[in-house]
Amino acid sequence: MAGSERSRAEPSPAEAAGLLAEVGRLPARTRRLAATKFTRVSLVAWGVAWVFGYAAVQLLPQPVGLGAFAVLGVGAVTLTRLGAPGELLSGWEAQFRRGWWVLIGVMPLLGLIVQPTPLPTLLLLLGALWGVALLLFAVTVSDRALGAVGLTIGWSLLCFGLVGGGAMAILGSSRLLHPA
Amino acid sequence: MRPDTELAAVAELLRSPFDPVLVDGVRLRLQAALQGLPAGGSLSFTGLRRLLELTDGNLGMHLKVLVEAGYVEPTHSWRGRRRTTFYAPTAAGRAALERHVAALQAVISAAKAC
Repeated sequence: MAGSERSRAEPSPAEAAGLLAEVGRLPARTRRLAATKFTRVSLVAWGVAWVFGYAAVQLLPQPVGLGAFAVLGVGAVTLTRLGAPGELLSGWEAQFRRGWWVLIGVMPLLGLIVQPTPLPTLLLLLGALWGVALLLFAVTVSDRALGAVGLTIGWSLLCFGLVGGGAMAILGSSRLLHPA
Repeated sequence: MRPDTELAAVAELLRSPFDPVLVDGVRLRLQAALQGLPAGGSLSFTGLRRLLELTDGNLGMHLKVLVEAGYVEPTHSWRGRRRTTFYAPTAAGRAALERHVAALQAVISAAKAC
Protein backbone atom coordinates (compact mmCIF):
# COMPACT_ATOMS: atom_id res chain seq x y z
CA MET A 1 0.00 0.00 0.00
CA ALA A 2 1.41 3.44 -0.91
CA GLY A 3 2.12 5.79 1.95
CA SER A 4 -0.60 8.31 0.98
CA GLU A 5 -3.24 5.57 0.61
CA ARG A 6 -2.22 4.04 3.92
CA SER A 7 -2.50 7.34 5.75
CA ARG A 8 -5.95 7.95 4.20
CA ALA A 9 -7.22 4.48 5.10
CA GLU A 10 -5.71 4.12 8.55
CA PRO A 11 -6.53 6.85 11.03
CA SER A 12 -4.15 7.92 13.76
CA PRO A 13 -4.89 6.60 17.29
CA ALA A 14 -6.41 9.97 18.23
CA GLU A 15 -8.63 9.99 15.12
CA ALA A 16 -9.59 6.36 15.78
CA ALA A 17 -10.57 7.21 19.35
CA GLY A 18 -12.72 10.13 18.12
CA LEU A 19 -14.43 7.97 15.49
CA LEU A 20 -15.05 5.19 18.01
CA ALA A 21 -16.60 7.62 20.47
CA GLU A 22 -19.01 8.87 17.82
CA VAL A 23 -19.77 5.39 16.48
CA GLY A 24 -20.53 4.35 20.07
CA ARG A 25 -22.97 7.24 20.61
CA LEU A 26 -24.95 7.04 17.34
CA PRO A 27 -26.65 3.61 17.71
CA ALA A 28 -27.84 4.60 21.20
CA ARG A 29 -29.22 7.84 19.77
CA THR A 30 -31.13 5.92 17.08
CA ARG A 31 -32.49 3.48 19.68
CA ARG A 32 -33.69 6.40 21.79
CA LEU A 33 -35.27 8.01 18.72
CA ALA A 34 -37.00 4.72 17.82
CA ALA A 35 -38.41 4.29 21.33
CA THR A 36 -39.52 7.88 21.85
CA LYS A 37 -40.95 8.54 18.38
CA PHE A 38 -42.85 5.27 18.39
CA THR A 39 -44.57 5.84 21.73
CA ARG A 40 -44.78 9.59 22.37
CA VAL A 41 -48.17 10.43 20.79
CA SER A 42 -49.85 7.25 22.02
CA LEU A 43 -48.54 7.80 25.57
CA VAL A 44 -49.95 11.35 25.66
CA ALA A 45 -53.28 10.17 24.21
CA TRP A 46 -53.65 7.27 26.63
CA GLY A 47 -52.34 9.29 29.56
CA VAL A 48 -55.01 11.95 28.99
CA ALA A 49 -57.67 9.25 28.45
CA TRP A 50 -56.75 7.66 31.77
CA VAL A 51 -56.62 10.88 33.78
CA PHE A 52 -60.00 12.15 32.59
CA GLY A 53 -61.57 8.71 32.07
CA TYR A 54 -60.92 7.50 35.60
CA ALA A 55 -62.06 10.87 36.98
CA ALA A 56 -65.26 10.65 34.89
CA VAL A 57 -66.03 7.11 36.11
CA GLN A 58 -65.40 8.15 39.69
CA LEU A 59 -67.22 11.49 39.69
CA LEU A 60 -69.98 11.33 37.05
CA PRO A 61 -73.19 9.26 37.39
CA GLN A 62 -73.21 5.98 35.45
CA PRO A 63 -73.43 5.24 32.58
CA VAL A 64 -72.34 8.83 31.70
CA GLY A 65 -68.90 8.39 33.31
CA LEU A 66 -68.28 5.08 31.58
CA GLY A 67 -69.45 6.58 28.26
CA ALA A 68 -67.00 9.46 28.69
CA PHE A 69 -64.18 6.97 29.34
CA ALA A 70 -65.18 5.02 26.21
CA VAL A 71 -65.15 8.21 24.10
CA LEU A 72 -61.71 9.13 25.47
CA GLY A 73 -60.50 5.59 24.69
CA VAL A 74 -61.72 5.82 21.08
CA GLY A 75 -59.97 9.21 20.81
CA ALA A 76 -56.75 7.68 22.12
CA VAL A 77 -56.97 4.81 19.58
CA THR A 78 -57.48 7.34 16.75
CA LEU A 79 -54.57 9.51 17.89
CA THR A 80 -52.33 6.44 18.24
CA ARG A 81 -53.06 5.52 14.63
CA LEU A 82 -52.72 9.06 13.26
CA GLY A 83 -49.65 9.85 15.33
CA ALA A 84 -47.50 6.99 14.02
CA PRO A 85 -44.09 8.46 13.17
CA GLY A 86 -43.51 9.00 9.47
CA GLU A 87 -39.73 9.06 9.68
CA LEU A 88 -39.10 5.77 11.34
CA LEU A 89 -40.28 2.19 11.14
CA SER A 90 -39.27 0.45 14.33
CA GLY A 91 -39.92 -3.05 13.01
CA TRP A 92 -42.21 -3.71 15.99
CA GLU A 93 -45.36 -2.23 14.43
CA ALA A 94 -47.03 -5.54 13.47
CA GLN A 95 -46.23 -7.26 16.80
CA PHE A 96 -47.28 -4.20 18.77
CA ARG A 97 -50.61 -4.01 16.90
CA ARG A 98 -51.31 -7.73 17.44
CA GLY A 99 -50.41 -7.55 21.14
CA TRP A 100 -52.58 -4.48 21.57
CA TRP A 101 -55.65 -6.16 20.03
CA VAL A 102 -55.07 -9.23 22.25
CA LEU A 103 -55.03 -6.92 25.28
CA ILE A 104 -58.26 -5.21 24.17
CA GLY A 105 -59.86 -8.62 23.56
CA VAL A 106 -58.83 -9.98 26.97
CA MET A 107 -60.29 -7.02 28.90
CA PRO A 108 -64.02 -7.91 28.62
CA LEU A 109 -63.14 -11.53 29.44
CA LEU A 110 -61.34 -10.46 32.59
CA GLY A 111 -64.30 -8.22 33.42
CA LEU A 112 -66.62 -11.25 33.22
CA ILE A 113 -64.30 -13.44 35.31
CA VAL A 114 -64.13 -11.02 38.24
CA GLN A 115 -67.88 -10.28 38.36
CA PRO A 116 -69.51 -9.12 40.59
CA THR A 117 -66.97 -6.33 41.16
CA PRO A 118 -67.60 -2.60 41.70
CA LEU A 119 -66.81 -0.63 38.53
CA PRO A 120 -63.91 1.44 39.98
CA THR A 121 -62.21 -1.77 41.20
CA LEU A 122 -62.75 -3.45 37.82
CA LEU A 123 -61.18 -0.47 36.03
CA LEU A 124 -58.29 -0.56 38.45
CA LEU A 125 -57.75 -4.25 37.65
CA LEU A 126 -57.86 -3.58 33.90
CA GLY A 127 -55.45 -0.68 34.40
CA ALA A 128 -53.05 -2.99 36.20
CA LEU A 129 -53.29 -5.48 33.30
CA TRP A 130 -52.54 -2.60 30.90
CA GLY A 131 -49.54 -1.64 33.01
CA VAL A 132 -48.14 -5.18 32.89
CA ALA A 133 -48.54 -5.20 29.08
CA LEU A 134 -46.71 -1.85 28.90
CA LEU A 135 -43.96 -3.24 31.11
CA LEU A 136 -43.54 -6.33 28.89
CA PHE A 137 -43.36 -4.13 25.78
CA ALA A 138 -40.79 -1.89 27.47
CA VAL A 139 -38.65 -4.90 28.40
CA THR A 140 -38.84 -6.17 24.79
CA VAL A 141 -37.70 -2.88 23.28
CA SER A 142 -35.30 -1.99 26.17
CA ASP A 143 -37.16 1.24 27.03
CA ARG A 144 -36.34 1.85 30.70
CA ALA A 145 -38.52 4.94 31.19
CA LEU A 146 -41.57 3.20 29.74
CA GLY A 147 -40.77 0.16 31.88
CA ALA A 148 -40.84 2.34 34.99
CA VAL A 149 -44.25 3.71 33.96
CA GLY A 150 -45.54 0.18 33.31
CA LEU A 151 -44.27 -0.95 36.68
CA THR A 152 -46.03 1.95 38.39
CA ILE A 153 -49.33 1.19 36.64
CA GLY A 154 -48.90 -2.56 37.20
CA TRP A 155 -48.61 -1.83 40.89
CA SER A 156 -51.74 0.31 40.91
CA LEU A 157 -53.54 -2.23 43.12
CA LEU A 158 -50.70 -1.93 45.59
CA CYS A 159 -50.94 1.88 45.37
CA PHE A 160 -54.71 1.59 45.84
CA GLY A 161 -54.11 -0.55 48.94
CA LEU A 162 -51.43 1.77 50.27
CA VAL A 163 -53.38 4.98 49.68
CA GLY A 164 -56.82 3.67 50.67
CA GLY A 165 -55.68 1.34 53.46
CA GLY A 166 -53.04 3.80 54.63
CA ALA A 167 -55.61 6.59 54.89
CA MET A 168 -57.96 4.34 56.92
CA ALA A 169 -55.13 3.19 59.21
CA ILE A 170 -53.96 6.78 59.80
CA LEU A 171 -57.51 7.96 60.54
CA GLY A 172 -58.11 4.99 62.89
CA SER A 173 -54.79 5.52 64.70
CA SER A 174 -55.53 9.20 65.09
CA ARG A 175 -58.94 8.37 66.65
CA LEU A 176 -57.32 5.77 68.93
CA LEU A 177 -54.70 8.23 70.13
CA HIS A 178 -57.03 11.21 70.45
CA PRO A 179 -60.45 9.90 71.49
CA ALA A 180 -63.25 12.48 71.41
CA MET B 1 3.81 -10.51 28.53
CA ARG B 2 7.13 -11.22 26.71
CA PRO B 3 8.19 -8.63 24.04
CA ASP B 4 7.88 -11.09 21.11
CA THR B 5 4.42 -12.20 22.30
CA GLU B 6 3.45 -8.54 22.67
CA LEU B 7 4.60 -7.74 19.12
CA ALA B 8 2.69 -10.73 17.77
CA ALA B 9 -0.45 -9.52 19.54
CA VAL B 10 -0.06 -6.02 18.04
CA ALA B 11 0.59 -7.48 14.57
CA GLU B 12 -2.56 -9.60 14.90
CA LEU B 13 -4.56 -6.56 15.93
CA LEU B 14 -3.29 -4.54 12.95
CA ARG B 15 -4.32 -7.30 10.55
CA SER B 16 -7.99 -6.32 11.10
CA PRO B 17 -8.96 -4.77 7.77
CA PHE B 18 -10.46 -1.29 7.45
CA ASP B 19 -13.60 -1.33 5.38
CA PRO B 20 -13.01 0.74 2.21
CA VAL B 21 -16.64 1.94 2.17
CA LEU B 22 -16.70 2.91 5.85
CA VAL B 23 -13.34 4.68 5.79
CA ASP B 24 -15.33 7.80 4.94
CA GLY B 25 -16.48 9.49 8.17
CA VAL B 26 -19.99 10.36 6.94
CA ARG B 27 -20.67 6.82 5.74
CA LEU B 28 -19.32 5.45 9.03
CA ARG B 29 -21.71 7.71 10.97
CA LEU B 30 -24.60 6.72 8.70
CA GLN B 31 -23.96 3.01 9.14
CA ALA B 32 -23.53 3.46 12.91
CA ALA B 33 -26.82 5.37 13.16
CA LEU B 34 -28.63 2.60 11.28
CA GLN B 35 -26.93 -0.03 13.46
CA GLY B 36 -29.02 1.18 16.42
CA LEU B 37 -32.27 0.16 14.74
CA PRO B 38 -33.90 -3.05 15.93
CA ALA B 39 -34.11 -5.94 13.45
CA GLY B 40 -36.65 -5.00 10.79
CA GLY B 41 -36.42 -1.31 11.62
CA SER B 42 -35.67 1.43 9.11
CA LEU B 43 -35.18 5.19 9.02
CA SER B 44 -36.45 7.56 6.37
CA PHE B 45 -34.23 9.92 4.40
CA THR B 46 -35.63 12.84 6.42
CA GLY B 47 -35.06 11.01 9.70
CA LEU B 48 -31.43 10.33 8.81
CA ARG B 49 -30.91 13.92 7.67
CA ARG B 50 -32.22 15.24 11.00
CA LEU B 51 -30.31 12.71 13.07
CA LEU B 52 -26.96 13.37 11.42
CA GLU B 53 -27.53 17.02 10.42
CA LEU B 54 -26.50 16.50 6.80
CA THR B 55 -27.58 18.26 3.62
CA ASP B 56 -29.83 16.42 1.15
CA GLY B 57 -27.07 16.21 -1.47
CA ASN B 58 -24.42 14.92 0.90
CA LEU B 59 -26.74 12.37 2.48
CA GLY B 60 -28.06 11.16 -0.89
CA MET B 61 -24.55 10.69 -2.27
CA HIS B 62 -23.30 8.66 0.69
CA LEU B 63 -26.49 6.58 0.96
CA LYS B 64 -26.07 5.67 -2.71
CA VAL B 65 -22.56 4.32 -2.01
CA LEU B 66 -23.81 2.31 0.99
CA VAL B 67 -26.71 0.88 -1.04
CA GLU B 68 -24.38 -0.07 -3.91
CA ALA B 69 -22.02 -1.77 -1.42
CA GLY B 70 -24.98 -3.81 -0.10
CA TYR B 71 -24.66 -2.34 3.39
CA VAL B 72 -28.01 -0.55 3.37
CA GLU B 73 -31.31 -1.59 1.80
CA PRO B 74 -33.82 1.01 0.62
CA THR B 75 -37.58 0.40 0.65
CA HIS B 76 -40.26 2.70 -0.67
CA SER B 77 -43.46 3.39 1.21
CA TRP B 78 -46.51 5.35 0.09
CA ARG B 79 -48.62 7.43 2.43
CA GLY B 80 -51.36 8.86 0.26
CA ARG B 81 -49.59 10.44 -2.71
CA ARG B 82 -46.35 10.95 -0.84
CA ARG B 83 -43.51 8.52 -1.36
CA THR B 84 -41.01 8.00 1.45
CA THR B 85 -37.80 6.02 1.15
CA PHE B 86 -36.72 4.11 4.24
CA TYR B 87 -33.23 2.73 4.76
CA ALA B 88 -32.40 -0.39 6.78
CA PRO B 89 -29.00 -1.86 7.55
CA THR B 90 -28.31 -5.24 5.95
CA ALA B 91 -26.55 -8.14 7.71
CA ALA B 92 -23.48 -7.42 5.55
CA GLY B 93 -23.57 -3.76 6.62
CA ARG B 94 -23.82 -4.64 10.32
CA ALA B 95 -20.93 -7.11 10.00
CA ALA B 96 -18.80 -4.60 8.05
CA LEU B 97 -19.31 -1.96 10.73
CA GLU B 98 -18.32 -4.40 13.46
CA ARG B 99 -15.14 -5.31 11.54
CA HIS B 100 -14.33 -1.65 10.97
CA VAL B 101 -14.87 -0.83 14.64
CA ALA B 102 -12.58 -3.74 15.58
CA ALA B 103 -9.92 -2.31 13.25
CA LEU B 104 -10.25 1.14 14.85
CA GLN B 105 -9.90 -0.44 18.29
CA ALA B 106 -6.80 -2.26 17.02
CA VAL B 107 -5.19 1.08 16.09
CA ILE B 108 -5.74 2.34 19.64
CA SER B 109 -4.56 -0.91 21.24
CA ALA B 110 -1.46 -0.94 19.01
CA ALA B 111 -0.61 2.64 19.98
CA LYS B 112 -0.95 1.73 23.67
CA ALA B 113 1.16 -1.42 23.27
CA CYS B 114 4.05 0.37 21.49
